[in-house]
Amino acid sequence: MLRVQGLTSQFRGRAGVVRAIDDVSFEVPAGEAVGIVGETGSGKSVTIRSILGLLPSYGRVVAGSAEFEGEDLIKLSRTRLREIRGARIGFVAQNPFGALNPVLSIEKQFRNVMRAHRRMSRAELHDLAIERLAAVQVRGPERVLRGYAHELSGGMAQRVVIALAMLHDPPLVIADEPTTALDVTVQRQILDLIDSQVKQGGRSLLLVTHDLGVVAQYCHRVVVMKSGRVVETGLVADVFTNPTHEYTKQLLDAVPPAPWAQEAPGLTEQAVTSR
Amino acid sequence: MTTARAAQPAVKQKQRRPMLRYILKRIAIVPISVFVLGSVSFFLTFLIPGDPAITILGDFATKEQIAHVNAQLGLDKPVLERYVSYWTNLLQGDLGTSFFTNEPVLSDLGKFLPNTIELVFFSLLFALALGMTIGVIGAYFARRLPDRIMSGITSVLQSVPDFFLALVGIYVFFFLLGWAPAPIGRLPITAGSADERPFLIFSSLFTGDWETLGMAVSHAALPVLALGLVYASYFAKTARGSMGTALTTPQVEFARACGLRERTVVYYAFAASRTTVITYVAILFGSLLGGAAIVERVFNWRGMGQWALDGVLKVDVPIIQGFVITAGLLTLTLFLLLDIVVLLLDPRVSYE
Repeated sequence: MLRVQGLTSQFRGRAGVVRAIDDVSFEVPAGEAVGIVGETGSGKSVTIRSILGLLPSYGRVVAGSAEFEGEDLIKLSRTRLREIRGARIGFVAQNPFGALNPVLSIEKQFRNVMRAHRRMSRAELHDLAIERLAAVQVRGPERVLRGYAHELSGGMAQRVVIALAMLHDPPLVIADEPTTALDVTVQRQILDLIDSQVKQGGRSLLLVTHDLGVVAQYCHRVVVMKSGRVVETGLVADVFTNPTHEYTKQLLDAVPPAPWAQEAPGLTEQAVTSR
Repeated sequence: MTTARAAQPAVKQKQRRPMLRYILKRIAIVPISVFVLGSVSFFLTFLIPGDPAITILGDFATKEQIAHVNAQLGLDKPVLERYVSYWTNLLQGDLGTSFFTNEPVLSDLGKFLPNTIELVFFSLLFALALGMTIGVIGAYFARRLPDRIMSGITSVLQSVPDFFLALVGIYVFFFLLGWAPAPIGRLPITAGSADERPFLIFSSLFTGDWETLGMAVSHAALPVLALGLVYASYFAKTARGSMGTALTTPQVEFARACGLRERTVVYYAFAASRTTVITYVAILFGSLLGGAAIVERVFNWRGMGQWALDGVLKVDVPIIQGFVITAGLLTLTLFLLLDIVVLLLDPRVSYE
């Protein structure tokens, strides 16, 4: 589905050129969920922004490729890349209040995302938006559509973001720490929601997180990053039970014993089924 | 709060016509502002150095002559009495008469204010269009070559005084090239005085008087250019800053990640920064009512700034007061409009 090879990105700053990620390679097989873990500044976000062509103007990809559906996203023209973003690759942002436009109604934002890739009448789109909001368990979708982002709770706003990201049924979903900005109480609901949406559509998921528990529970594979490099990658079951890299061991040791340990399919059922 | 919102996720309860209530509240404050404004303009004239009587009579006037003129002007009466009669006249719409020309201040204002409003309006329109273009290009290509070129242009425009640009414009376009008419006012001498027709450009535009419009526009071109170029730099800076910030927000990133077209993305960033720019328009409009004085003078524009500047130099107290009150009232109105516009544009601004 997505094959990233030797991806290297640099930022130009006052102190000169900084290499943010170096020779990053991993793969997201069709229908699987892959988690990228690492501490803050390890290059997780830069990796997905390099793939999506969303680096700020002072950053650029200097080497490597990101093959998606037979095309190298890195070499694509801006126009072609725009056609893929949103339509073939859905993006779930970190903070829904940052991501949603504060001065446009939610319906208008649905309309804009729809119009970016496909024509649809207002009435049709309205019905589709209601349907999609209901699918992500937004209560009172009619009212939400008419309203604005600031009137929503964090969990509801993130559901709207997910509905927008999934509007064109993309086969690949990239989620950038989708629960970091949310209340602890709704984090799990949102992750479950993303998980079920991905599974229902038979989609692939690339989930960026710093929470190993989340990876264990929702992902088949894991990519461990440190200082802009991939230090370890493989099946969750293998990496978590038998880490080969010192950093992965340290990360795992740093996780406090938590309830997820008992109910982590990545560690139990997954270990059995994927063999 | 969080639980309350979670329980009732959608739109907050709407008050009955909160918008109207907010506007009425804002209007209710206006009389207080006017009182402060009037009082300030009355007492301000005591701070201005110089004696009107001496300015009228010259430096060799005798004490008796000065006392006589002061009595004529009503300046010999106690301050409190003058203050009361000042307010009585003001509330009847009487701004007094000029010490020197004996013209009622109100009729002067009727002649000069429309000229200034037209000049400032077109200058700001031009400045806004040019400045926004420069600023948006700079913000879009942040830290790249176009940004450096645009910020270079901005710095140059910002460092040139408007009257200097006016003089250079006259030298180049009137004297050397002969493209622009002589800087003698709003119309050529042959067309007679333009004083009888306030809002020359607007009125000739709406009545379809194309000949007058053409002459008026060609006379307005240089002053509008001089002011517009200089003030474009302010808009360029504001737009570069606010758009630059807006373009790096997660909001714009998410818009791009959803595959929105670049022009929609730029519009998103513009929508996020437009209130800043609109605020700037209002502030500059207020300050240019008197701030264009020197440019008005260079072009003999017969505007309010030029008129007020003459008034200040001659210590013509009623003119100074009339100017302060008019400029103040216009600024107050403008800021009221500004608040309403911002309110309409941003659903997050609360009416309370």
